[in-house]
Amino acid sequence: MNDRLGRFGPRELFAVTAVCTLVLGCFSIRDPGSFRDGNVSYFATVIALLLSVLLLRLGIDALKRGGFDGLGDRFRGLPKPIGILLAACSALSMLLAAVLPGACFLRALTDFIYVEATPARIVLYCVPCLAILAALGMETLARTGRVLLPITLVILAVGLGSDVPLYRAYRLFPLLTDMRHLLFESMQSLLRFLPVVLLLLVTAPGAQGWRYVQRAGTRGMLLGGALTVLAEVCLALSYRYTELTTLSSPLYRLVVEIDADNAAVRFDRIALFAWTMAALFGSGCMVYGASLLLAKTCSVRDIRPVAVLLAAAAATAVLLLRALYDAGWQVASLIGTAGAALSVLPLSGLLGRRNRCED
Amino acid sequence: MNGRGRGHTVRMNLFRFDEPYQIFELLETEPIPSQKPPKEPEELDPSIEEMTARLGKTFCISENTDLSLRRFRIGNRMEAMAAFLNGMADADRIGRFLLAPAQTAAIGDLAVRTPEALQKAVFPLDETALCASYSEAIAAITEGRTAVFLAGEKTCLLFDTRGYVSRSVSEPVNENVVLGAHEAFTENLRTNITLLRRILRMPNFVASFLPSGGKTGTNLALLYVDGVTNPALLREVQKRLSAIDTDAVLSIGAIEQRIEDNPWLPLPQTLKSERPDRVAAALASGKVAILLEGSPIACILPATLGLLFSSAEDAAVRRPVGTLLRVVRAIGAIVSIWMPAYFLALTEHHAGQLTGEVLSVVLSSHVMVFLPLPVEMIFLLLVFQLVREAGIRVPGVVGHAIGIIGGLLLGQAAVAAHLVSTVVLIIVALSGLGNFTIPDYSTQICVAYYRVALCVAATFAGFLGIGGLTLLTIALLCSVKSFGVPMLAPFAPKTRSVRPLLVRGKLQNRAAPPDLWNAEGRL
Repeated sequence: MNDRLGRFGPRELFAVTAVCTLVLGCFSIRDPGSFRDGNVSYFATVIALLLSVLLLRLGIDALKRGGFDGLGDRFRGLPKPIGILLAACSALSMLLAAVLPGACFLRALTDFIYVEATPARIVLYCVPCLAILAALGMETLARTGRVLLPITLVILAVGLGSDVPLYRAYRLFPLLTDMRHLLFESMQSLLRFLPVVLLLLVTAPGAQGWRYVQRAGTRGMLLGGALTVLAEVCLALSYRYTELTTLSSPLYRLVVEIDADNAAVRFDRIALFAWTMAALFGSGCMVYGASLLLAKTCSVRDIRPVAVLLAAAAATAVLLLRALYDAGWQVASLIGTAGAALSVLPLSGLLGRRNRCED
Repeated sequence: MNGRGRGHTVRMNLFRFDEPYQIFELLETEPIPSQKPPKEPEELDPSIEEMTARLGKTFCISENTDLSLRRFRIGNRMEAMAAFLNGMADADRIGRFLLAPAQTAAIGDLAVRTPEALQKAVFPLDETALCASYSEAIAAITEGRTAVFLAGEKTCLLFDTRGYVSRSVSEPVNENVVLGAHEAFTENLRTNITLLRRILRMPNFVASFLPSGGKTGTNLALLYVDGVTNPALLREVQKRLSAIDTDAVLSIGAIEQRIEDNPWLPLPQTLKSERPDRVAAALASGKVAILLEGSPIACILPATLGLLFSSAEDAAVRRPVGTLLRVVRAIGAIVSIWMPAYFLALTEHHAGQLTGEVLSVVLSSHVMVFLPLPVEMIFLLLVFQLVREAGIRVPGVVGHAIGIIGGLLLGQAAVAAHLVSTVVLIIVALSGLGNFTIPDYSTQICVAYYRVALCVAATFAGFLGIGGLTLLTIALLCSVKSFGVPMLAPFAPKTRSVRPLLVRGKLQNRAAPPDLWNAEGRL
């Protein structure tokens, strides 16, 4: 089977995990309603991050004890309908993780950068990039992640550091006014990190053993998550929670836009350039993960057509989400995206039946 | 005339294709019957007359006057014939050390007059060999050796009398350094190997001669240090070299393209160097090099991006200076690659992010120029390449003059004629200057055209286009391997290396070789 998984080391896996976690953490849609009872997002992110790491360890432990190579192998071991259903759910989760930051990023781009461009035109430029990235496979993505990680870290550090004069500690309050709200926020934040866990479990056969997946995955998630929390703390230091309920793409503004008067060089342009790469890369990884899982479960011989299909589906979902998001139908957009993603599954199943692999 | 009339005849004449065509045109009109020459028997003829006729036929002696067939007697008793190619063999050496001793030798004292005995007793030449194969004898003659055929013997003697004219060792043309050796390879394979042996004075430095795979019979030398080079790498290179089967292999580039992993990629996957010291350093670290007869360039493999961006001078200067040189080179490459596209993206899509002063300068310089900014930029980048190509192809001082004329006069005139704006001219000039900091010539060309692609992407999609194309390029580079070694190693994937990409590492005594190419050990 041409699964384009290849072999990659712990350092590459660490980099991929960190960049994906950071991109998903920073650019996933956050409901402005989250801030209605105070600024608790950074608490929720910490809880979600720790829960995700715990889930990763549990998942690795379960697969290791079962003697499975990865999540795809586990699903293939199940009765076919159940396996396909579970694989579809996991792939959907990863595909959503590719879609949500994309939609958020697209919103920011159309709001601040390409004001006159239509979202479809922007997405059109991203589709080939996403499809090629996903089709190149995990070995390439892992190495690319290693190149991107230092760039992303520098950009984030400069982005957050340049706003230090604007930070005010009093803006952090009020805290924890409603525990139920915090719990709800944590569960919502969990959805931002869970796809990374799934990606690690799916691509584990390409790593050099479960031990490295666990170690590199945990460290990568902790680094990416810690930076996300840092960015959210900086966000909370920059804006009052009342402002955040109405502000569009606040985290994007924080990490990309820099006060032009204070900066000797307009670093925001380079930051935009780097964040575009990181966002596309994160989405590409998730599309690859979803493609690999579906291809393995449905015994598709070559992952590349699936990757291209899912990239196209993700782009469609981004556009759909963008259109619905404007109307304020956030829940409907999520359902719509899920439906769009699910529409790919029968096609994958067909491919699987046609090109069934004997192994 | 039949009943169809005159018009029909005119039409028929107009569309006749069976007219004899008088002018010669080289067209393949009919399949050429297979004309495989009858296979020559491998055995040598014991008769000198037979051998003369056979050699004459092989070398087309009626037209080809280069072949010399000199008949003589050894010790005034034994009939013999020396065959060599004029110009390829040293006539003086043949006269003094082959013909003269042969004619004055007292072979009557010899108990047996076998070729072995004659080889030992008569000829005072150092490199001699016995040969019983006709094709081997022919190959030796074409190389410049002399074959001596003996009457009544089915074995001939081969003498190394190669003495053709070749260029002497001179300074490198493309890889100049301030601190370092100032000698470069020549077109002579033997001389090149000698230059390397002078640096690598080790018994385990191996120069293995192989046919290049072309029907021209050009030889190549596969160079490595036994015990240091990974045998798997060596086997792979040998396998790929043996798979070459073509009419002519006349340059090292032809070999490189046939053995590299991704011939479609513009970026070179081997390092070509004209410096013996650089090749020696590569061999000592476990790499393999290929030298081709007639080519003054060595092909070093496997190559990584770090190697393509490194200079022979890096190790010759102190560590901080070496690091600084690398940083300057990296900045030059970054400026060369991204600056034109970055400028286009800013002016075409993100003008709001430019300050008012910068924007007004750009607009005021472009106000009289009729070309759109992206077209102007791409046009100037291509003109820059044109000037550069012209400067390279035109010999010597005129080439430098063309560079100056192209750079100064043409640029000045273009601005005065409102063909281009000054800001764009400066950006292209800076970009071109940065391009020259890249040490490898093939990489320079690749970068020069890649920046045009980036400009196109920036024109269509601004930063999104640049970001997307850059990301794809990085991913592509991550997926490419040069003889099994990832191009971005030792960074992606991370491998142990004493010399990182940008910061020059400490020169350690007894440092283990980097594990990029899994060298067996150290020298």
